[in-house]
Amino acid sequence: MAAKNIIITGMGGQGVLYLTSLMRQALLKKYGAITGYDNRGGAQRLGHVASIIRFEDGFNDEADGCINDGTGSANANNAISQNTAPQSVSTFTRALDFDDGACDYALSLEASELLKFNDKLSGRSLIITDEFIMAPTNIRRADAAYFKFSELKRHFTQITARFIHGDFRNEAKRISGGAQAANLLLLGRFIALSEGALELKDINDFCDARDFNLITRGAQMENK
Amino acid sequence: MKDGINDFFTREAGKRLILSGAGAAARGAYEAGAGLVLTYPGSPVVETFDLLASPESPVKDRCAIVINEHVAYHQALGYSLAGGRSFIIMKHVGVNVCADPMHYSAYTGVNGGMVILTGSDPGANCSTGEFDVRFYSLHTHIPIFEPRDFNETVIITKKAFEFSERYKLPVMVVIPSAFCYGVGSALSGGALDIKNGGEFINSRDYTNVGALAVKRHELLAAKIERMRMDEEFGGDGDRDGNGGEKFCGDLSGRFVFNKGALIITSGIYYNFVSEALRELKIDDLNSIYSPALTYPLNIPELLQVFNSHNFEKIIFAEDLEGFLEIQISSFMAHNKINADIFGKNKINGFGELKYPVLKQILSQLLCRSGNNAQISITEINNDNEKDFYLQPLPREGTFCPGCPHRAFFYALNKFISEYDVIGGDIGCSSLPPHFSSWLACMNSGTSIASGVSLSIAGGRGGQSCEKKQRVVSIIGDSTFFHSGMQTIMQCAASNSDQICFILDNGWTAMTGHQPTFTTRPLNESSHDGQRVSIKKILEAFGVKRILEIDPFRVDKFKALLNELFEAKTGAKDFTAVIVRRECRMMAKKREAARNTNDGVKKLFKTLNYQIIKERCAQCNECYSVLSCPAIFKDDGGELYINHDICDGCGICFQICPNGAIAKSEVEYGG
Repeated sequence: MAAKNIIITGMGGQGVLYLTSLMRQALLKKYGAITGYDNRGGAQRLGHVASIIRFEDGFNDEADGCINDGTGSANANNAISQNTAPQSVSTFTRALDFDDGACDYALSLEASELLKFNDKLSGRSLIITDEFIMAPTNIRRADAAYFKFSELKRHFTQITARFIHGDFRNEAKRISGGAQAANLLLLGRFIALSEGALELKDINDFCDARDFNLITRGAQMENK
Repeated sequence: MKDGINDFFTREAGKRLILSGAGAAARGAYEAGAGLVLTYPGSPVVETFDLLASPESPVKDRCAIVINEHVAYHQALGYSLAGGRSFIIMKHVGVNVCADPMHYSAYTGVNGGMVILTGSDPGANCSTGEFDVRFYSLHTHIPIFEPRDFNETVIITKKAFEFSERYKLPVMVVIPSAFCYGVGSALSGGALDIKNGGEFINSRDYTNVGALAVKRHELLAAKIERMRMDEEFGGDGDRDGNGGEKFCGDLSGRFVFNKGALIITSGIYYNFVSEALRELKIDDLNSIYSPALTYPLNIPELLQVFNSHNFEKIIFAEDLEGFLEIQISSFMAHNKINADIFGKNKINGFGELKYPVLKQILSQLLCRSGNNAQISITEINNDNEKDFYLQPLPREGTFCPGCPHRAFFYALNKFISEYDVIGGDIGCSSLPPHFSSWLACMNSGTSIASGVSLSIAGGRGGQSCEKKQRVVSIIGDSTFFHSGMQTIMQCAASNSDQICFILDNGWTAMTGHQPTFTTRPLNESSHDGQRVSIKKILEAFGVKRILEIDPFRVDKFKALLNELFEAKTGAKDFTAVIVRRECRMMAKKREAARNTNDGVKKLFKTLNYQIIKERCAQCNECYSVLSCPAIFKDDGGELYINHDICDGCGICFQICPNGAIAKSEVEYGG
């Protein structure tokens, strides 16, 4: 299997990094090899945040040498004696970043933030985005117009037929009382549409019952 | 997350860990038994310190946030001279701050291993600037390691302590921001016991003046030469068991030999090059060399690489200034090795080297003959962008909802013009909207000192200016302690004609809310560091006019500013204004801590603000001028407050000229 590439984006405070953390743990456990990076910005809210996750099947097999103890016999469970450094952990020599047009899944908690990844998107991309849009403060000060969701929808459907959107923030408020859970609903939607790349059972080990319930609710949402 | 940080501190070897790049360096230092861990907070390596200082950490009592990198370096050096292993964590601009002790520590040498972890930031993704920090090693002679992945970062950071002890030199490990925030897997090595400092034994080796300094320099040169010739590097190993990689030591570089062209790279770009060659289906036709020790370059390793084949084409795949290209071109010239060299003549010396750009360059150089056109990162992006219907608009970083800095800048902007001069520093207060046409966002509070000369040139002297330029300098509380105090003392001594605002939000907020000397403990068990009064420091410095104000009292603050700026036409005294209001994110944590301290949930009252549409004249004072991110405009142009984002600070209520914002009390909790 070739590497699969995921973009997760939004703004500071929306839960991009928590969503990424859950997915990374689940994908690592399922596939055995991940890489990628975050663009976190500063600690303050509402700045651009993005994460890249790359994963590839076939590395969780002992024969493929995900965990190599340096003796030539790859074994994920092979405990190495105290104070002996392992020689290598993985033959997963993928770059942190990936090529233009090679995004397989794009998850956006603020619809316009995904425009920053135009180059990475293509017809192979499954795009799932919240309909929420927040005009940047620099646009406000300039008293300039900002994107409407209908424009963004037209844009993304030009790129891929697999464009899914939802009012995840309001749905999260309706279900949980707070918009913060929009990230979990969106993750659920991704799980439902990812054709097995990630399943609900994969994520269960890494979140509590409340979050898992919200992810499940997201998986049950209807497509728009 | 159910699986938490506990696994991170396992003493067992062979356990698989999910680590960030910054976390992998922390794990390496932990495994090495670092007995002293020091930092001044700086992205992208904040997490390295946070992990080692976390409540679960066995070494948390060995960790400290220090006033600045210069002091941290001195502390670490002292510990190392006494035989302990010390670990200092800083961003690339922090290296500028400790450059002085870095230079002479290479002359004096160290005893216990001393490792400096530096997070570089090509592309300035989380910093005020970018530069190639590796060039420091060419004049400090401090060795540099650049690990290529998460597992190697654990190993190299750990081994760097041993290397430091072997050569009695501090050692730098450099990891770039994308990698610091990257996540991948690594295997734990066994954790060594903490190596403490012991008795300090005095030696003339530590004296570095006059002829002794020259002697120490000579000895340092000999030490570097020994390092260059160290035969532990290189070797005939087959580290991955697939025959492709030829070097075997933990600190050795990577050499994939396939004849063809030789691509020389380092750090994370090794995997970029490997993948690009695979995707271009030319990976078995070209060779890659990626040294782990990028200064000084190891001669036996280089000879092995260049003796393996008569490479006609050498490509340097590295970002920023071309650190490897300069060194290896020199090596090639000395050894009469001829080849066509492609490096900074093909890849820009600024910005982050992105994978698609690197792949395109390799494609042009290796897949098409005769195409030697300069490739610009910008050109590539533009070529791709024009195919799309919508282009992204920039989103500036901004203050959080309820941030006191927003209220401060809103009021200040009413009293200054574009003609005036505002000098800023690094930190949250350097974020837009700073409401000025010019803000010298410089590290370490230097703008205050610049204000001294600017006020002489444009303000006090003013002969060459049409009218008086008022000089305002702004510094956060963290930077005040870091390096602003000296400049303020100088301003007071020279009675500089400027107003200096010290924005005291009680935290080093931008890098994740580390405590400063003004931080109030969140609860009884949190930060118990020494608290210092900025006002008393200013008094001791001889600042004649010191004012204190809460930016959330907008009218009162504006009245004060009115008085200050009006008075400035006549008065010349240097004025310091302490603008005090706690960072809103931490104030909320404080409220939450109070709420749960006694285990009983309490009922709280808060204020809820709402725009009354009938009264709103859509003047946009709240939306555009204050730029509060919680205020939205609907499709019909009407403004409303998004209560998911609103913090309830009430600044909009205070500034609305039409009385169109209503407040009401709501209860929560219980």
